[in-house]
Amino acid sequence: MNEILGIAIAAVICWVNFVLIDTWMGLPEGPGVKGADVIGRSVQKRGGDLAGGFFQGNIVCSPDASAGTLLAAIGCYAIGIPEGGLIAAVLVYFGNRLCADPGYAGTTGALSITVIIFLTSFIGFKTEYFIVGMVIAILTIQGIYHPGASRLLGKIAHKMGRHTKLT
Amino acid sequence: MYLDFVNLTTISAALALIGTVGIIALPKPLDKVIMFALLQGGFVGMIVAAKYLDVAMAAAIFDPIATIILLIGIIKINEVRKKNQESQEDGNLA
Amino acid sequence: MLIEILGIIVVLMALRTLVAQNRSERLLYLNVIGFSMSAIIGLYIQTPFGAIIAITFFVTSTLSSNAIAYSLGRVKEEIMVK
Repeated sequence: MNEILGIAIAAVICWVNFVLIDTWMGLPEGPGVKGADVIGRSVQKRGGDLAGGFFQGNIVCSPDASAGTLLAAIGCYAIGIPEGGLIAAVLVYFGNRLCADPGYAGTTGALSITVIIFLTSFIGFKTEYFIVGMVIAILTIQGIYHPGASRLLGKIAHKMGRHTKLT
Repeated sequence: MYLDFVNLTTISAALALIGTVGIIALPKPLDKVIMFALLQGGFVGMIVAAKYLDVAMAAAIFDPIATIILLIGIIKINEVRKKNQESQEDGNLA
Repeated sequence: MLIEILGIIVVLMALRTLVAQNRSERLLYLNVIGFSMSAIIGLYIQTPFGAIIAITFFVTSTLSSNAIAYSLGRVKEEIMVK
């Protein structure tokens, strides 16, 4: 498998994985911790969508499915395919409790990407592609243009019925 | 050819230098704390590049604790200054 | 090859953090740097302990960003002494 193509496809898979799991678990609906509120309102003030802003704030302030995906990929690369993902899921669970976040988005993301890495290893995807792909996926959401990314996340939240009711 | 220069050591050095420039140049305290977090990232990167892994673990655990203590100090001093300012304005009105 | 891609991402995000105007924007770029540094540490040291260090670094950097965001909400505008 060509490296650039593999990294691109892995980036798309990781993006879909963590955005769907996070939106389904209710991240755009409200700020999980107080810091996410600050970031969400600031993104809204700069022209973005409030639900997308809460989503980005929740990614920064507590380990969610994006963290679970990245850490499970690193664990699978260094420790071995099912064991690394499970160890990463346990450590993400501890991190969630340390941030006083009651959710399970991190562990769900870690376990689902472990299954995906195991399945795609038969097609020729190396685990490194998922690590770099996850970083590129987070770069597109939090590193390029915040109002645009938050509007896209708001549209996805509308479609899945998880848009925020706060203003 | 220039990609030879991009390895963990040079990336961490660049992060540490950018963090330092930010701490010196930016005026407000909370911006300096954000740049300090950048500096910590570069610092742990340098320790990992030198393969001192147990030192890296200790640095990764204790650096954010230092940041939290610094932030508690900034919140406290801001509240004290706000109270002083309000009592000064009350004194001016009176 | 992989560490070079991540390295360029780190340096670009660090420069954007330096020149950004809004503080919450800086926090979002700092989060990308936390993800990338954790990935580079995991890829550089390919042993299980390297993965544990990468995971610990990521969780603690998330905690520190959470603390900074909370302080930004608590201290809305700092009072500076001339």
